[in-house]
Amino acid sequence: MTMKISTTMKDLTTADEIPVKEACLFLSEYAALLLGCAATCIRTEKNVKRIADTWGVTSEMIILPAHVQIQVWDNERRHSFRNIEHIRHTGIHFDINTQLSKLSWNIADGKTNFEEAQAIFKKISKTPPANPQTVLLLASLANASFCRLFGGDFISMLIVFAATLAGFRLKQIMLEKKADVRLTFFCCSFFSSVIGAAGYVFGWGNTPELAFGTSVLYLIPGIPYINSVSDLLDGHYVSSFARFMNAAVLTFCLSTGFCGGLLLMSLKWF
Amino acid sequence: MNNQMIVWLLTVGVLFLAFIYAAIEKWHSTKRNQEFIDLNQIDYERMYEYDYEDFDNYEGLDDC
Repeated sequence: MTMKISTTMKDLTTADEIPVKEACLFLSEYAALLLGCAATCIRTEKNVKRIADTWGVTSEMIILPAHVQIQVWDNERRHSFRNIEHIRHTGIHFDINTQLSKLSWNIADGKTNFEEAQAIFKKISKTPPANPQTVLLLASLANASFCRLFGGDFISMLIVFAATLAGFRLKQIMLEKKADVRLTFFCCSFFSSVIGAAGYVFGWGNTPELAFGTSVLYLIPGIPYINSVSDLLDGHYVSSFARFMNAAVLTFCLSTGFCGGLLLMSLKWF
Repeated sequence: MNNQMIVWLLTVGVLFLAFIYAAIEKWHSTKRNQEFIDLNQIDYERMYEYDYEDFDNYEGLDDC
């Protein structure tokens, strides 16, 4: 009896003595965090496969809009473990994305063993978000630059900078207070468009239409749209559709807020 | 000053008030958290140091 148990336990470990169950748990948490920080499905699959190959296990995963399911087998395909993990939405976080990819390469290159990988993963999952003030300033500058790219003059750039600064700060405050993200997008686009209409209202600058139009561009969910296309090309239609719908709903909310600002300021754009 | 300007100023004023409200609320919550931390920093060892037989030490509790 004892012999049988010990044999079974041996079967549950890989050649490098990494328990299949532990590998499954690690890989599912890894995939959930990677997908949560806005990585594409192809990247997640590649990274997980890279780690699984190094550890001598076979893995397959199902990616759903809110969950990820991973099944891991041992070498002989005699024992398997399956885990469903809720995708940990951390917001778009390229720092976590890069660190997780680096971790997978370090594991593949043999620089990091299983215990070290677990410790590093815990550390990565606690990575704080980027400094909000820096993001606020850079987003405002980027949006003002957008205005310039479309041919806006210096006054319009200043108006767009102010509109983005106010709108983005409002977005940060509302999301900190756990407000609904759709309501947040609506409010931010409404106030940004009203501030962006300053060129029309006070007669500032020669390109008030550009200031008004580009004042809400910072709210466009570009990364979800790009990820949606990437997933579509890779054949992950469920994930692609989910990402697209999320982005489309946010775009609809920002358009509604923009139209609200347009109506409030009685601007005859159409 | 036309109606459009008045509406614009009122809307921006509302947003400005919202920012002030958020800043005050944040300041209050920070203050509350600091008070909470102060409560946690009570020297409990000293608090329970007194001897039940010697009630002179009991006054030490007021300092905590």
